[in-house]
Amino acid sequence: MLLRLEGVSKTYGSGVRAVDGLDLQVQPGEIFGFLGPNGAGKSTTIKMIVGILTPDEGSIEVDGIDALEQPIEAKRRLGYVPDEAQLWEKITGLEYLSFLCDVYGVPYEERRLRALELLETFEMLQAVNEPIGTYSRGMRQKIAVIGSLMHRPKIWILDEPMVGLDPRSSFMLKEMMRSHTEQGGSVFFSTHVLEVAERLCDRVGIIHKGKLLTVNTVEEMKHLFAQEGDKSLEEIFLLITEAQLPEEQLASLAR
Amino acid sequence: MSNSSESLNFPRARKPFSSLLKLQFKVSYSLSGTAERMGLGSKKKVVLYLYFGLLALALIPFMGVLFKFSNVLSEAFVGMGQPGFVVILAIMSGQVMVIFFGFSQLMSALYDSSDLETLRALPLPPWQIMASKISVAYFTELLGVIMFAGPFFLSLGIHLKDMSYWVPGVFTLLLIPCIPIAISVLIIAILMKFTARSPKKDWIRVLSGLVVFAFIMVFNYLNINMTQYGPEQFVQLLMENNGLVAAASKFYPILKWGAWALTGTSLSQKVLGFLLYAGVSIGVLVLVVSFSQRWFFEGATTGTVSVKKKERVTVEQQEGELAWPKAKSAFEAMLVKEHRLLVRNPTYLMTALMNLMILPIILVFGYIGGGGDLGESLAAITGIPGVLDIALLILVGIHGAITAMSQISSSAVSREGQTFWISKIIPVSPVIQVRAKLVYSILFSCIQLLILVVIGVIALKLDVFRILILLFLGVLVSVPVNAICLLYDVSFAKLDWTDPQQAMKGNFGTMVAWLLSLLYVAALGGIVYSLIRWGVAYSWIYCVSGAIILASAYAFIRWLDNVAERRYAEI
Repeated sequence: MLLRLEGVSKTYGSGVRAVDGLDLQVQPGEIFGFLGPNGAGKSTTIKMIVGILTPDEGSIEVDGIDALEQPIEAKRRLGYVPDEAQLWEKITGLEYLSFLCDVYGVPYEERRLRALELLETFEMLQAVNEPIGTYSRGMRQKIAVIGSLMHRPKIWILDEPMVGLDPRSSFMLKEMMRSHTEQGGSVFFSTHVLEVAERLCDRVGIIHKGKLLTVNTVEEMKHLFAQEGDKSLEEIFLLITEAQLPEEQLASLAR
Repeated sequence: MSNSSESLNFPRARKPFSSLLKLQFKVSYSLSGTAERMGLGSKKKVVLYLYFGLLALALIPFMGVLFKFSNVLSEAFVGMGQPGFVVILAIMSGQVMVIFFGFSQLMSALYDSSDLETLRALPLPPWQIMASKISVAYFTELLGVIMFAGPFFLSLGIHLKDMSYWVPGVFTLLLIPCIPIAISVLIIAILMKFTARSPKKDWIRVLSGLVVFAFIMVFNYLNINMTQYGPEQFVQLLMENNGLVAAASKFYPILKWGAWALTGTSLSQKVLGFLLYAGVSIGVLVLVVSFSQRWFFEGATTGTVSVKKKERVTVEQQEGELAWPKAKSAFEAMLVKEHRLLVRNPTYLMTALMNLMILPIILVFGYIGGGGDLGESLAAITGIPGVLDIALLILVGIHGAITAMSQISSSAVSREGQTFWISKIIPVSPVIQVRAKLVYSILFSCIQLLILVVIGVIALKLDVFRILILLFLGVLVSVPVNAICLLYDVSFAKLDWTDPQQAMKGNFGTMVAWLLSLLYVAALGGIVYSLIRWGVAYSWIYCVSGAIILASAYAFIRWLDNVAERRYAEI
């Protein structure tokens, strides 16, 4: 198991539990889509996995390492792309990548080769020596994606990664996610684009009001809802998160 | 492709902490951002020359005056056999300055930086993130310390004529920020941890910051206060070699050790003093950073404000709670926005209020420190015809000179940061927007004016007529001064910052704007001085200076309007 969350909870102001007793596992070679409406707890969960927030309860394991006990070791195995990349405006893309390589301890001789491969894929080679402050939103997202892969992480975590990307880059990103898992890594990403999740994910989890309602393959989920006709993931998502499903059905989904 | 790939030259590999330090310094002190703002493209060298030129223009006369003052002081105290007292004065003033300028800077750098989330997701231990932020703050504060305390060290070294003074002298100067930064970090870490879940955390933090600052001023005053010694005791202290050193460092031995290090009576005392001074300074800072790092992330965690859980409410109740504030004109809305942006950000509010407090506190301590004698002397002087009028005009001048210190107007546009696009797209003309900023800055500077009026009433016993004149001229002079500051900020706004403090204290432009406003006040002072020398009646001096301020205010406002129209489109 590359990622394991057990009983993870986080409470924010107003006493609202943003994440409530979340259990989750992500296998090697798997793309896991994390779905949920706005404010469902997706970003909070991701921030707890990558060590930005500390859970109030529960445990998080990254590649067999307790992320709460050994956060530095756990972080070394993660690559993270935030939903809105806060990058330093005054440094160039290359300086940003170089900083990340230093922090993750990427051997010097590997840096150039790795960067070339990623920069070419995302058509960022021309811009890499320019200050990040001059980048468009999409370019910032691309450099954040590239930065997250420089150290070849085992688990790649992306929060709404498609936002701001042009169709080509979006396509390339999806290809890279697939290629990452083919090399034994796993991908955990949140998205609102259900079509992407439907086509790309090996399994999807739907979180709503802090609770993980279901974790299944898209096919299994469709099968579960087969009695209600041939449904797309979007329709199932709406059914689960908007309709008041009976408690028994919710319980069966959670199982 | 080949050309581009050839330009892909990675800088040499560094250790994570060294790389983090380099990044933080680059982000804080990069010249390329300033070059961009000034429309100079990538001409970083030009910006560097401009900065040095401006600094030289502004600081050389200032440091010259300071050196002259410290030179007289050093000569006198070395002559009296009390050279250590100069070291004490230099260290103490440097450290108070670091607390004053560094507290809110550290709070902002450690807890409001927009890169905190990015850094926390990286495999970096908390102490490294903390230490990198503190290092940048240390360097910034050190520049100020060198500027203020440097002349004291220099003049003392010249008068001591001892070659062995210089090396420990430089190190003593460089270590001045250690203790005040350690104190600030400790207080901030405790404050942030224990207020992280309070709904009123911002106010608690601002008030605590002000209380801490006031406490440190009182502590320093008590530490160095000599009025408790009778004339005989005082003479006795003066008779002893460095006798004043022990008396002026009774609660705070760091000062004594610093004085021993540079002016000790024997080599062993010098070595012991230096080891104690350097060891304790560095030790305390390291200890505080390693101790408070456990609280660092806890205090920095965002979104942990806990509010009492509300009972279930009806739709009607919810609608009732959703009461919109009453409609305002565009100008009023802009004014309210200015106010909210300032008071809802503890960094901005604390900076502005501390800047307002500094002079009144110095004046109050000066008055109290002078004891009854000062009151009697003032009473005697104010009886002389014309003295009260001159004092009133000086108070107006002081108000004009320190109005820009609050940095409200000189950072009014910069504070908007990355949200400036909102100001660009709203259907409110830039003229109205900058005028709202101007009016708000004037209103804020009125707080300072009121403090000066209170001081004038207590110390100078100003009558009602003069109080009204002081209020009138004070409000009037704050118009052109704030307009000048706004003019500079609109022209060279610093909108790309990673923590809010960079828009105010870390904004070099606020200093340039202040210096420009000082030039204006100096010119005004020159005119008033000439009028007094020509024997013009004070009532006429009030009228003439009022008219000049009014005319210049009008000119500066028109200029501001024009620049705002242009710059809001360009930025």
